[in-house]
Amino acid sequence: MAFKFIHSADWQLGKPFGGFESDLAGELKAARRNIIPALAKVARDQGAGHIVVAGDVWDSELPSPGEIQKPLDLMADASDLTWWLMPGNHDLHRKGGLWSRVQKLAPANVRLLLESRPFEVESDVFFLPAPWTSKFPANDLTVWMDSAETPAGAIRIGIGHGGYKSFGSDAAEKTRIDEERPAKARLDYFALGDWHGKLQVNDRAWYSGTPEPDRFVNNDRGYVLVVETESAGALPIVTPVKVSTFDWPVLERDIRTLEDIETLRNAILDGRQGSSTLLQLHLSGAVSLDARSRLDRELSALEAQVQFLDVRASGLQSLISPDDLDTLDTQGSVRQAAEQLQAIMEGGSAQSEDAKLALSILFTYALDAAESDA
Amino acid sequence: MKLLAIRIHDVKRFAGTGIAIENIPGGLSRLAAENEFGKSTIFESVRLLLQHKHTAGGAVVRAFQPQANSGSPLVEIDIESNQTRYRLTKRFLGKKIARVFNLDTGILEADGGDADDWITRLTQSGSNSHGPSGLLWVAQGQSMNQPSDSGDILPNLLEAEVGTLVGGKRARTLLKRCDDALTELVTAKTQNPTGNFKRVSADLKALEDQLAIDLGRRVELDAILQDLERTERSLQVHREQEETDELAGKLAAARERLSQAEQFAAQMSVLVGRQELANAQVESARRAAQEYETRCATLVSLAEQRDKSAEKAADISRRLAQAKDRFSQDQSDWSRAEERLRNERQLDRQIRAHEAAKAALTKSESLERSLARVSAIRQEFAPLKVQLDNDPFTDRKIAELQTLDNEVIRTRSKLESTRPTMTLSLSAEGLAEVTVNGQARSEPETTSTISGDTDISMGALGHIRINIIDQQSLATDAETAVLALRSALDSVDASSLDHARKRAEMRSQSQIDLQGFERELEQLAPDGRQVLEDELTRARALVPDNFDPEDAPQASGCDLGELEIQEKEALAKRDTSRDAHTELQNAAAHAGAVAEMAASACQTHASSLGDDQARRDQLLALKAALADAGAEASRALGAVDEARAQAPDLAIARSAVARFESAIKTAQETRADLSTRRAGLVSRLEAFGDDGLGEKISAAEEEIAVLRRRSDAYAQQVRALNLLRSTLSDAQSTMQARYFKPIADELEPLLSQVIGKGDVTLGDDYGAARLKRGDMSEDIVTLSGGTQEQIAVLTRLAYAKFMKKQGYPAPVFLDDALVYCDDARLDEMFTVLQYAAQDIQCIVLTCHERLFATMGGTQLKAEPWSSEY
Repeated sequence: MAFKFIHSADWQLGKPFGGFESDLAGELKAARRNIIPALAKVARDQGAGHIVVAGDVWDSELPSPGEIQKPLDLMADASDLTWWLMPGNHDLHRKGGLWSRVQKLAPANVRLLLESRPFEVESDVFFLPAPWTSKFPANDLTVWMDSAETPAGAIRIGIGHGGYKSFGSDAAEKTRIDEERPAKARLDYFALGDWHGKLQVNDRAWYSGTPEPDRFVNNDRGYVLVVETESAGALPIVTPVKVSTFDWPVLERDIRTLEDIETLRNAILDGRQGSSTLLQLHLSGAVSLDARSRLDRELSALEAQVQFLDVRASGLQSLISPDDLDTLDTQGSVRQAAEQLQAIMEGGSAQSEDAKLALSILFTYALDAAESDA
Repeated sequence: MKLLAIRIHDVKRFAGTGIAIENIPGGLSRLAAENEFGKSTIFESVRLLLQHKHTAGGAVVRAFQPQANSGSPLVEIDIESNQTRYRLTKRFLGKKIARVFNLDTGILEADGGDADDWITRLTQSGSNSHGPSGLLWVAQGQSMNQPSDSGDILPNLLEAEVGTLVGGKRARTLLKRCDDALTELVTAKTQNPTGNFKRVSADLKALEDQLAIDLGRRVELDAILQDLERTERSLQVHREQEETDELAGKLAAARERLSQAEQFAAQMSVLVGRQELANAQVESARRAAQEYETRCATLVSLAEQRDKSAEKAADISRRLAQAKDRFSQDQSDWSRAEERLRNERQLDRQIRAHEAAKAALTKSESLERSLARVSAIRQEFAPLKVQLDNDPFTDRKIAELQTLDNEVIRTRSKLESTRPTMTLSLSAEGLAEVTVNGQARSEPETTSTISGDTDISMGALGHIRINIIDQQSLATDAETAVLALRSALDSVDASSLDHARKRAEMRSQSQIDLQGFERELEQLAPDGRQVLEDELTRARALVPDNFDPEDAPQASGCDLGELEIQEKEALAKRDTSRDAHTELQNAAAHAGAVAEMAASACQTHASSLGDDQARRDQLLALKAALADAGAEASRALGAVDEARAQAPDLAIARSAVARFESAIKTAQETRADLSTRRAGLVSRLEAFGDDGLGEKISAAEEEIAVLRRRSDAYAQQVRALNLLRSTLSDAQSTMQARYFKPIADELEPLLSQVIGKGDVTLGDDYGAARLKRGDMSEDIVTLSGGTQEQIAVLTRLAYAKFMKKQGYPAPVFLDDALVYCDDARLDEMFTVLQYAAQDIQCIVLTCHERLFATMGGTQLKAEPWSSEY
């Protein structure tokens, strides 16, 4: 018998987005909650009756009451679906903590995977969750699945949260999820959370990624996975579905010519909805001062067209020509000062960046003075 | 340009008249005149001509009218420019004139407005400046003003020399902009954030502080949650124990074992009692047997004691008899020795008494002799003493007489020395004929002093009478001295000093005799005569009546000391034998008593025990009873051991029950504690409240990241502005230094001469801005008035020298320009003016004629002048 469900993770509900102005932060927070009705729609469209969230439902162990109640209310609204919530490392389960409060408030269609044991979902379908109950687990939390007993022929779906690759730290190595877990634990599918980008680990293990991006990282985010397995032992069919409201692209552009500048905006906005785009733009290259002021104008215009623009221009060099210096001063003290600043800027010392800014300010002041003189 | 002559007419105080200064030389010249002469009027008039059109009519020009709204000031100067002499004439107001006349060619070069233009071109003054007269001239009352208003001449010359000083104004504008931007971001002195920067920093700090608090609360919350978890696990463990009721079952089993142990213990108690009774009986039988044996032994011991004490008493009696005999013998020996000693002592006393009486007799005879001598001395002593007391010829008196005699000698000698000396050298006839005061001479050559009347008779030749009047005072002195001596001698009844001396010697001898008597008396009766008499009385008392010193008792020849020793030894021996006898007497009495007591005790003990056979029978019976009791005790012990081997340990059983009871109680208490603890932790969790701590922390961290970036951006902006500012300022200073170097080179020696080693920084307006001496750099306006004056003049001189070198000579004109200088500096300024005037024309106006007389240079004269116009 087939079983279909929605695999999601890393909702990070309650993330405050304090680095943004309040209006945008509010929208971003709301977008995260709105993934619940979005997922409900996907589930219904795909004919799935269960939605699994593999960890980090909430952004912290200590969300405000509203941040707990509102999502639960939204889940309750989708009462035709069953929501399976598992604690991750951000919202780990401890006695008296977040999940005790959730237990008290959860509606009937919200099931909490707080123990490492098989949960019967439907007849012959079992979830084997590995919830986080400690900040610093001493080992791979999914180990228990290898010896977990379920009726013969039952579909076994493991749910885990953490990395299958360690990144060098001892703690991460201890909790690293064994890549062979699906085989060792006879899992038909392994629903993973923690990695915010959509990622297939192997035939039976996937990271769904976060359904709503929350920071500037270039990975495949904004998806949920529709997982279908025909029977115990059959390979699962996994279908990603985009659900995110906002797009957070990180783009790099090399600027060297006026043409690069003039085509920048269109190139960036092509195929994007500016009102739902938060853009981080890394600029490199080298431009003259005149071109730099044009670029600044283009960037100002671009900023007006997107929700948020973060420009990182440390890799963009300013080319200062003798003509540029002549506009300042042909041979007087201002020219001399500009040449000295240029030398510092190009010298690569600790003052290089300061000199670069100083030179930029000098040109700005000089141009303003020239305009007022004119 | 060089000024050759200045003429003014109908200007200010020179109403209707004129005054001229002719033949102004090229180097240093001065016009010294009193106040109100019009020196400044002359100075200002030249400037009026050079700086204003002849058609000008404003207040500046009208100020030169001699009377308000009346008069036409006329100013005329002769100048030399490019080796050509010109006469420039302007009359203002009234009949306006402007002319430029070439004195060398006699041609009118320009007239009217053309003349104004010609003059403007010459001086390169215009609407923006007054040319060299603005730069190089010092007006009265403006002595501290630094050079300014150079127009285009100096900049052109400097630029021709060193290039363009471009950007000064722009640099100032940019610097000001930097300062303004910095002011919005940081405070001036300490560069602490202000404005938006400060707000961002303050917000950042507030957020960081709050975050620290919230993180602390999260840590606390984590701790509570961890504690709660541990408590829950502990509670769970305890609940499991309760459910299995393990402890209760163990307790019941332990109690059952305890009951069995107690039953066995009761049985054991009975058997142990029996064993103890049997042991007691054994002990009793043993004691009875031992006691009887002891009594028998005692009887034997008493018999032995009785025999020993009797033997001892007999021995002591024998020794007592021996001691008694010895004592009697020793007593006799001592009596004989004691008698011999007594007799010898008596003889010895007799002999000493005789010797003492003999010594007393001798002493009394000596004392009698002494007393007789004392009487004799006393008879002679008293009169001699009286005599001496009355004898006036003491040493002191003799000294006094000697002093008076010396005075006589001295006064006489002095008198003599003042008397004239008469020396007579007589021939043989003269000797016969010549007499002095009737006395002939005995020698042909005589010398004598004369005084008073001296009559020298020369026989038939006549007399020479000389009357010498001695110096009265000296004579008086001599006479006084003689009289004094005489009087002193008379007072002691001496005819002369020698006589007095002899009398003194006699007195001395008498004194010696008296002293001899005193010594003898001292020897014979140091304590006085009475003492001697008392001694004599005592000595006589020691001599018996009818004492015959020759009749002394005969000695025995025995050694008294030896007899004493013998007597002592005999006495000691007697005492020893007496003590021994006494001791043996006491011992004999004691031994007798002891022997008697021992016999009595033995008798009593033997009667209670019976004879030997009876004693043996009794002892056997007692030992048999002991053996029976021992057997019974062994049987009882066996029964106890057998029972003990089978019984459980009561103490261990009791311990086991106590252990399980305690464990149950502890478990109950632990559960209660854990429950209480859990309730407390839950309560604390609830107290934390539902305030969304996690969201707060996340939000704060994100906001802090944003604020940090903004703060860093501000900080970078401050650094960049500071860097821009310092770079601009340095560039400007460098440019200015390079630009003004030619002037600095001219100024340096002049400055060094007057003020000392230093550097003057010139500003864009060509005025002196700062003076640097050593490490100290000062704004010109902060210096003293005198120094400002000096720098103002020296700078102008430097400018003028530079302009001259560049082919554009212009005069330096100073009107009372050194009013604050001290004498030393003024002197140095004169030296510098002399030096500079070698190259440039310097004209100095002053009201201090005397002070400036040492300046040197040409003294200018102002002569009356009437204009041809």
